[in-house]
Amino acid sequence: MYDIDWKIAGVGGMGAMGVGLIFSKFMMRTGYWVVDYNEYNSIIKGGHNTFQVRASLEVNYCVSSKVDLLIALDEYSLIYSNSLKNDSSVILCDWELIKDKTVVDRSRVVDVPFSVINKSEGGDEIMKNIIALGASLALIGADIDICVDILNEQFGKKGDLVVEKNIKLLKAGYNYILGKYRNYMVLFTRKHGMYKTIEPSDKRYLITGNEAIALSSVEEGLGFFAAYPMTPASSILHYLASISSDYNFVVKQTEDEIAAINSAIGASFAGARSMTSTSGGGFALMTEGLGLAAITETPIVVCVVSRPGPSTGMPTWTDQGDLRFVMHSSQGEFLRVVLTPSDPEECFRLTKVAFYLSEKYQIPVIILTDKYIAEGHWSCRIDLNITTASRNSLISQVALDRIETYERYSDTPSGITPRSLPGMKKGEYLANSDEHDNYGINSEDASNRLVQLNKRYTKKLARLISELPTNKIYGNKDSKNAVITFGSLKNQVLESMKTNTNFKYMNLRCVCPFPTSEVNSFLDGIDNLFVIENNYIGQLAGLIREYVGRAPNYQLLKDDGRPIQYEEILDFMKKNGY
Amino acid sequence: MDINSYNTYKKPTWCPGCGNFGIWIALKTALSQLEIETHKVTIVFDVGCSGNGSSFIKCYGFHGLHGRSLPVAMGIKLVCDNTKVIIMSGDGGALGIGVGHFIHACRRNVDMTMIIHDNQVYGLTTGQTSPASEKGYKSKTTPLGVLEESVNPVLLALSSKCGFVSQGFSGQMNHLVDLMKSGINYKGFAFINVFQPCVTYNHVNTFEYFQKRVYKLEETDYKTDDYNAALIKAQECGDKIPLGILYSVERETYEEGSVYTDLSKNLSPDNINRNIFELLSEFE
Repeated sequence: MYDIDWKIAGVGGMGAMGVGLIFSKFMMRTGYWVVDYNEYNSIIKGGHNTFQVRASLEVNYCVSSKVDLLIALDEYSLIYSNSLKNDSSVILCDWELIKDKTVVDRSRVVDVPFSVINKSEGGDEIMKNIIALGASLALIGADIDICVDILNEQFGKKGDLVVEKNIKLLKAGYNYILGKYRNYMVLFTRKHGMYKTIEPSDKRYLITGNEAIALSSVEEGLGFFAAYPMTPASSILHYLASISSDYNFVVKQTEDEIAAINSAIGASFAGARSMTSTSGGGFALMTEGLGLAAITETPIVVCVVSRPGPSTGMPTWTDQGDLRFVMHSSQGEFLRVVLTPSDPEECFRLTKVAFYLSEKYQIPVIILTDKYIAEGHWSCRIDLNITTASRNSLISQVALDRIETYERYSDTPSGITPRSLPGMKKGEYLANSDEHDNYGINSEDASNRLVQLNKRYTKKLARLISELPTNKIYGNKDSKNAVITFGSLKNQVLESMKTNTNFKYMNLRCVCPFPTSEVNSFLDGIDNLFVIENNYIGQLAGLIREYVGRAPNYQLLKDDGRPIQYEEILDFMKKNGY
Repeated sequence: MDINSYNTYKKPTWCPGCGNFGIWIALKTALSQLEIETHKVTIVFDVGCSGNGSSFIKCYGFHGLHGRSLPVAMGIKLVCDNTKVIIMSGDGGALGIGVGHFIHACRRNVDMTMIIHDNQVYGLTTGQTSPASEKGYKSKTTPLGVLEESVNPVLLALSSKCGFVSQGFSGQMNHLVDLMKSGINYKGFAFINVFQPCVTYNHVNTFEYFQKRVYKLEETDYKTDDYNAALIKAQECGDKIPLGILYSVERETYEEGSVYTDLSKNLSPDNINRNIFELLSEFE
C-alpha cells in the first residue's frame, strides 16, 4: 500500500505553508487520501513554520510523527531530521546554506541548490519553496502536470507573469532531480513503492474544519455572521466575508466579541439564521450573551475553536482545554447543546445539526473544535444531499391573525413556543433578559418562574434528547478494553486502530447534554476504561465520573499545544496491556 | 394612532416624579404622531430604570444585557428593513459599560435612533456615581466626591462622527416629542441625549437645576449643519445648556454602503437553503 509522509519546514515567510497546501491538493487530485497539519508562531515574519502531509491509498486520519521526506528550507529545519522514518527517508535541502555540516548524515541529503537555481531561473527570493516542491515531486516519482494546473489556479489571479515564473521554477526543481538524482529517485521509489495516479472512486474535497463550518452555514441559509478576529477561528470570518456579497448575507467584524454575539442575537430575533465564532478568550467575553439567548429563547450558533489557555495562552496551537468552560459558561442554569465534531466532514454535518436544533428548540448551540482540525486539511466527501429542514418554530401571519392575543412565552407541551418576527401584525412581544411572563413582561412571581424554567429546560430537553447526534462505536465490540475521547482525538485513535484492534472505542460528538445512557451501555461489563484527552487535567474523564460514576483505569493527557500523536497512543496501550 | 395603543397591561413602576415618565409619554406621542404602528417598531432597551420601561410599551421589544443594547439593535436593523429601531439606554449603559459600542454606533451610522436617559446617576442600583456625574458629585461609591471629569455625551457623539446629535429635557415634553420625531425620521444613526432628573438619588441635577439652565437652539440663530460650531456648542454644559438639534447632516448609512442587496430575502422561509456546489469547486 503506497503512503507517504512529507514535511516542509522553514522560517516564516519562506512559503512552507503555501507549497504544503499545494502538495496536499496535488496528492488528493491524484487519487490519495490526504491529511495535513501545520505549525506556526504568533508572529507575522520569522518564527518557524512547518507543514506536514500524509497521503495514502487507504483512508488515513492523521499525520505521523515520522516522515519519509523532509524539505528543510533553512538550517534550523534540520532539527526535524530526527523524525526520519527509516533508512530510505531523505532530507531535501540546499547543502550550501548549511553552516554546521555535522548536524545531519550527508548520505541522507538530497542537495538541491535552491539559491543557485532560483537566481539562474530569475525567480524571486520567496519562490525557493516552489523549487523545493518540484524537486520533491520528482523524488517521489510523480508527474507534475496536475501540479501545473494547481499553480495556474492558485496564482491565476496574480497574473500570467507570476504563474509562468512559478511553473518555470517548479519545473527547474523537478528537472534538477531528474538530471542529478535520477538514481536517488529510483532508489526512493524502489524502497518506497511506485507512486501512481489513481482515479478516485468518489468526489473528494480538501478542506479545513473552519472552512467546513463556514460552507455548511452558508448552505443552511446563514443570514448574519458577526465575529471579532481571533486565532484560530479567524478563517471562518475571512471566508464568510469573502463570499457574503455573492450569497446575500451579512458579515460584520464587530468592535469586540460582546458586540459579535449580541448583534447575532439581535439578527436572530429579527429572523435571520445567525452565527458567531471565536476562540476561548473571545468566548469568555460572549458568555453573558449566551445566557441572553437562552432566557429570550433566541436561536444562536456559536463556534468555539479552542487553543491552549489560560488567558492569551498559545494562540497558534491546539488543545481541548475548553470543554468544561463551554459547557458551564454564563450565570444561571439553562439548556444548551455542545457539539464536538472530529474532522472537517463532521464539522460540515454537525453545523447543520447545530442550526436545526438551535432554531427548533430556540436555544444556544455551541460547536466546539480545536486548532488541529480547524486549520488542518482533510480530504473528505461532502454530502450535499443531506436534507435540511425548512424554518422551524416560527409562527405565521395567518396563525397570528387567527388568535386573540399572542403569547410568545406561553407554556406548551414541548416547551417550544413559535416565535413571531418584527414586522408581523399582532406578533408584538418583549424578548426579555429579566425573568418574564407569557408576554415577555418582567415577572418575579415564584410560580411563573418555575413554569418558565420547566418550559425552557425540562420540557425542551425531553424532546431534544432524541434528536442529538448519536455516538458511533468502533473496533472490537466484544473487547473488555474501552477507549473514550471527544472531538478531534478520534483521528489519532482510529489511526491507532489500524495497528491495535483489541479495544472498543467511542468518540463523543455531543458532550452536552451528556450522552449518559449511551456511555453507560458502552461501558457495561468492561474491565478497563482508557480516556484520552488533549488537555491537562482530564475534563472528559471528570464528566464520565460525574454522569456515569465510572473512573478511568488509564488516562493519557497532553497539553503542550501539540495534538497527541497516534504513536503515543499505541505506545501507551502497549505499556498498559491494551 | 391612539397613544394608548402603545400601552401594555403593566403600569409604570418608576418613582413618582421620575423623568422617565416624560420620556415614556414623549416617545409614545412621537410614534403615534408619526403613525408608526406597534408592529412596525422595535425598541431595544438597556438594563436600568430606563430598561424597566420595556414592560410598559407595546411593540417588538428587546430588553437585553446591561450596556449591550446597541449591538442587538444593529443586528436587528441589518437584517430587517421593515422595522424602525429605537434604543433606550441610561447614561450608565451607554457611557459607562457600553461606551465602546456607542462610539462605534456613531461612526457606523446604521439607521436607528438612540435615546439616552441621562440622569447623571445609577438609579436602579440605588444611587452610585455615573460617567455623566459632575466632577465632585458625592454618592454612595464616591463619598468624597467624583475625582474624574464627566463624559460629555453630545461631544463624544460628535467626535465619533455621528450625523445627528441632539439634546432634550424630560421637563419639556413638546420639544422632546419634536426631537424624537426628527431623530426617528433621520436616515442614519440619530442620537438624542435626554436630561431626566432622578428624584430619588440625584439631589444636584434636579428638575429646577435644568429648568434654570436650558434654552432652545431653535430660538437662536444657530445653524445645525456646521460641524465646528457644533463642537463648540456641545461644550456648553454648565450655566447654560442648549436643547435641540446640535448637528444634523446627511451621511451615507451603513446599509446603503454595504453590498447586501435585499436583506429581507434572508427572512423568507423559502430561501433558507442555498446551493454551495459552486463554492466547493475551490476545494477540489
